Amino acid sequence: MKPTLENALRNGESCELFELDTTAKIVGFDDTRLKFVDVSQEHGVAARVVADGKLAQGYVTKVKELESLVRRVSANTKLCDEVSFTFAPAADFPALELARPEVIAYSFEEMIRSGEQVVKIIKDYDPAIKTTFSISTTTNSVRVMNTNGVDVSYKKAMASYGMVGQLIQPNNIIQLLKGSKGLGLPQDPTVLARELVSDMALAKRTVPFSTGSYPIIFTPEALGDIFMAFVGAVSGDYVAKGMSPLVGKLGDRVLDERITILDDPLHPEGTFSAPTDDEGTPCKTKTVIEQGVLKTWLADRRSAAEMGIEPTGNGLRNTAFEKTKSFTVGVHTDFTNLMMKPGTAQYQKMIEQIDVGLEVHYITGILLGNLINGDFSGNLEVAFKIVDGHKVGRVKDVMIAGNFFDLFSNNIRAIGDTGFWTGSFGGGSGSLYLPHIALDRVEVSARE
Amino acid sequence: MIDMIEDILGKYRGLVDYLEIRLEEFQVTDIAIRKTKVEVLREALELGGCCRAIYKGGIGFVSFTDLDRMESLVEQAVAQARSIGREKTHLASVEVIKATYQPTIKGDPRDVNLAKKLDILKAYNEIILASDNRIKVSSVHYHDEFKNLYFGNSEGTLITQARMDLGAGFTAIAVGNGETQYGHAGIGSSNDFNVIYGRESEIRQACADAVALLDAPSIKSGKYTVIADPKLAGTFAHEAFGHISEGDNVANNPNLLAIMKLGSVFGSPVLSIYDSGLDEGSRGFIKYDEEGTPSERTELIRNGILVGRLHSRETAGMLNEKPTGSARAIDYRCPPIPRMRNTCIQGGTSSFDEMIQDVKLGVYAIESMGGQAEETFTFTAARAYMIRDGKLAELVKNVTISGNLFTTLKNIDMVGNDFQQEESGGGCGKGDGWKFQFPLPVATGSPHIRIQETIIGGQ
Repeated sequence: MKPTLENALRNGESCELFELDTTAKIVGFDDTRLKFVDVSQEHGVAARVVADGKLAQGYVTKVKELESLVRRVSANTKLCDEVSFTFAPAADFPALELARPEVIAYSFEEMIRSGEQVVKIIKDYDPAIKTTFSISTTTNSVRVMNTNGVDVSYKKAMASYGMVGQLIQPNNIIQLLKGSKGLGLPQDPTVLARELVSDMALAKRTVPFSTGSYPIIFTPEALGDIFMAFVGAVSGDYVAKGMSPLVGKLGDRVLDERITILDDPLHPEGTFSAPTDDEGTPCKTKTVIEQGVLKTWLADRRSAAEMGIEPTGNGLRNTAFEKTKSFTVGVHTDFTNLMMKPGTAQYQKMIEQIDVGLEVHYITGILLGNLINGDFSGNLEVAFKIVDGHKVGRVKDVMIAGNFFDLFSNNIRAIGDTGFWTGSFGGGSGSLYLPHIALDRVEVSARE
Repeated sequence: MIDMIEDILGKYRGLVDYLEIRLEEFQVTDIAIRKTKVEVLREALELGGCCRAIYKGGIGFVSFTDLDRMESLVEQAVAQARSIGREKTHLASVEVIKATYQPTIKGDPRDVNLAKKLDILKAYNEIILASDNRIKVSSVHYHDEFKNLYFGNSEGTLITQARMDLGAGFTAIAVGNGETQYGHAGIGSSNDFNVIYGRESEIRQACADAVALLDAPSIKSGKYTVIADPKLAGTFAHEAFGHISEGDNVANNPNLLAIMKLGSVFGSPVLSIYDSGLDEGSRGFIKYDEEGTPSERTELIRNGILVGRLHSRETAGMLNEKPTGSARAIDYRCPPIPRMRNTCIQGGTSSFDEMIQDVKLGVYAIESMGGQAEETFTFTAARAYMIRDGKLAELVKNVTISGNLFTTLKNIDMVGNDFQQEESGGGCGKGDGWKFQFPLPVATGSPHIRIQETIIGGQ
């Protein structure tokens, strides 16, 4: 494909190409039945052209049509507005090993074996739990090149799995999700299957709960949902337009001083690690929040130019939510691996120190809040009541509403001493590294 | 294309119980304007395909963009299915169809050049920015897509069909009092570019809504009688009830199937819900689904009784029910699964005045910023008015509605006589849908509905 890409580059005045070649293998179980074995192969190139300072873009899956696409995109630039950014200059890129041979070679047989083990653990505990399990490997080959002389490519292999256990009782549906994604071979999925079973044992018992203000422990998965209210606030896309509640607060303390958050695309285990972002800016590690103080924005080239800062290597082509890399998505600012520094509290002690409170695992409806304000709200879909330092059962029909910056400024009781890779919506994306956090007084409303 | 499909099917059909190949060729235009600038102007061409082989219940699925590798990948799908199939293939039978379908396009976006599209959208953008000094940001999105689908299966069905989809959204973002608020208008169509015209008053209303919300108080959490407007009610029908009606959620789930037993009482006699693929022009319109089954209007709840669900051939086969033409896929990357089309609460007999007059303290919830549902559903209303002593009172914000699906359906006590079809620029992100830039085109319709005893989270 190389000659075609290079020919295409010559057609645009100032041009950038993003090429992605993906192969994925997936195995899925529907309850005890091994249901499907999938292979997907996808190759496409996205092009951006700037002519007379104006930007237009496009993408194709048929690479032989790339040259004509670039010509069309070039012609479209005259309809567009001027942009203040330029494509990335030639640079050196960090060296990272992201495609482990054992992940690429991970076989369908091994995937099937993992699935059988997971299903057995859950079914042995309770055959009435409807179980779904899928496991996959994805190999991405990425190449970014532009007319400034950038030509950088890398290969990354990821393995992931996810399980759902659903138990339906009269007037009660319990649905538990567990998942993991990483650059290495899947960690033993039976560990999460056992966690799911022990959560299910607890969830079977519904306990009453009243409206009020309580201490709440958020698991890393639940924090993954709530952190959506933070991510936009430091993103150049919103900051440049004055929409972030943090505008004007660079250098100020905006969160509790025990909170330190990094954007670390060079972490050897991060699924969002890469030598380059998706527009050819070298990746680097940034401290976004240092002991509660806002240190930097994250910015792609466009928002960086609008804000008058240097791009931070966060120009990505990720789909929303799942954050799958795709040539069909335009460049925007996003976190790579968002990593929060663990604290000092032992998880068990965090539980023991609560007289009456909750441990929240999964919140639904979080996207429906006014997230850019930092406001989040939702239903505590899976949350356990804690009484006298013990989890006693699941609460139902309890809603939470709050503001991220209020709750995580003045209200932190403890931060767990261990971080976990997780993601929003049950851990799927693997882009977040978070500990447990206990907050002091959180308002919840219950249907009584 | 269809010849190529027929040719490959001929070579491999004998090796599995069922084999299908789908090829899709589409062109896409996206425009995004934010504040004063055209931020995105994008054209794309995509060509891709997939193959699904089923053998003794095992499914081998491959998707690809490299058509030169099609035959070897079909061979691989066949081998995958054969390697795991151990039970029985359940596929409800459907008629063999040989057809070519071109929808009647009233206004073809391909006939409108980019400059013209931009002019229209920029004019709307200017309305937003000029509307109020507290509107700080505008966001205008436009997407059109024209797709040729080629489908063939081992039973002899060969279908070539074209589909158009158009969606646009206009968002006004007001900033003040240390917060940000939104107003939104959306449009969509599957056969007419002209829906883009004449939206000025809706957009002005969206701006006024955003500004008014800045000064509005948050609702006090509690339990209220809620009147939902047709847009919010349609979202409720889709999110809270529609998903649980999808055959793949119940087919292999005896406990849920016991709850979702056809003939069970799910609501009061005023409630009827259906899902239709027959409404030409709607974003939920499909002539044939992604398994080649003709689409239909599927009744789900009739007068409070559960009477149907949405099926693919597989889920219908597993439950011994009839396929409903609901097997859909966002594109060639996905195998077809039961999904909604145009999901509607059927119009009833009550007027809005009749619904509101005896509500002492309640909430009139308008439009939705989306919703999510498990057994408990959660929605945020775009805005709401308190109802006091049978009359609309003050505007309130942060209105999050939540409830148990089954209880809430039974708590719907009045259904309005003012059915409205809603074509938004959004879509449905079931399953792997969130992996995609654009979710599956769907639509909703509903009149106003009244729901008793609804829990609302606010502050």
